Amino acid sequence: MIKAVRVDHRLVHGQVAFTWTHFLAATRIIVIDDKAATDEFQKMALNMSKPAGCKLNIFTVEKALSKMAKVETLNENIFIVFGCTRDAARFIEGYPKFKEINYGGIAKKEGSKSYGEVVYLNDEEVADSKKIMSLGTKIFMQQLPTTKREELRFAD
Amino acid sequence: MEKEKKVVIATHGELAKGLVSALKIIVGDVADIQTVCGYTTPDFDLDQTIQSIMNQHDFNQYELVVCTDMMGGSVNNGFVKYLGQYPFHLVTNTNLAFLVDLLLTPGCINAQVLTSKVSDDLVSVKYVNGVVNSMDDLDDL
Repeated sequence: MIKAVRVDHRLVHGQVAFTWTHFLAATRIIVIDDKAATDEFQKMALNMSKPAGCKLNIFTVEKALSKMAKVETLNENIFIVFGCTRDAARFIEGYPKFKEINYGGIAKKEGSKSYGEVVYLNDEEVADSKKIMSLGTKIFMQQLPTTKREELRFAD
Repeated sequence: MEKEKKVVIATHGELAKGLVSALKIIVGDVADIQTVCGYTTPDFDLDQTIQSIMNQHDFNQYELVVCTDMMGGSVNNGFVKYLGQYPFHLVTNTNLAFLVDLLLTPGCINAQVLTSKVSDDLVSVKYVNGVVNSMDDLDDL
C-alpha cells in the first residue's frame, strides 16, 4: 500500500532515505519526476542514496500513471516522492486518489513566497497546489516525522 | 532487560558539535546527545572529562555508546583506558552515516548490534567515481 506521498526538491536524500523511510517502514520508494527520470547522472545519484533493503523506481509522470494499477497490487510499503509541484499536480490529475500529500521541501526561488519553514511557492506552484487541493488531496507541510505538521491553506 | 541508549560524541575540535548540527537536519530531535569538543580550550582535560561522563552515567538504566572521531587519536585513546572500568561501548572512526543509523535504530543496543552496524557497507568510506551502479531495476517495478 502507499504509505506516504511527498514533494521534496532534493528527492531521495538524508531525510527521506533514512528518517522517513525508517519511520514509514517503507520497502519501496517511487520517485516521480520528469527531469530526474531522464537524467542518467541524477538517477545514479538517487540509486546511491537508496536505503538498504528498499527498492527504488524513478518514473516520469506518464510512466508512473501507467504503472499505478500494478503498484496498487504490490504487497509493499510504498513511499512516493515528487520533485516538484508541477509533476505532483499532473500526476494527481490522472490519479486523484491520495488523501494527503506532504510538502517536505520546496526551494526558495525568484518570485516565491514563504508558506512554511522550508516551503516556498511561486505563482505557478501556488496554482499547482490549488489544483491538487481541488482534486481532493490535502496538503500539509512537515520536514521530519518529529517536527511540526501544518496544513497548507490559501487565503483566496 | 532492554536498556535505552545514551550517546556521547567525542572529537578533536568542534567536529562533535558539527555532527550534531548535521544530525538535527537529517534525523530531527537529538537533544539527548552529549558532545565533547576536545582541545578547544587551553584547560581541556580529557581524563577529567571522561571521568565526569562515567560518573554521571546511570549504567543500570541506560547503555552508554561513546563515538569518537579517529582510531589512534588521543580522544579515542583516552576512552580506551576506561573500557576495563566501565561497561560502555566505544566506537571510533565515527561518521554521519553511522550516527544516523544508530539514532534511527530503536530499542536495545548491545555488542552484537554494534558489531553489525560498524561493518555495514552503508557506513564505509567510498570512492564514488568507482561505484558502478546497476540501474536496471529503476525503470520498472
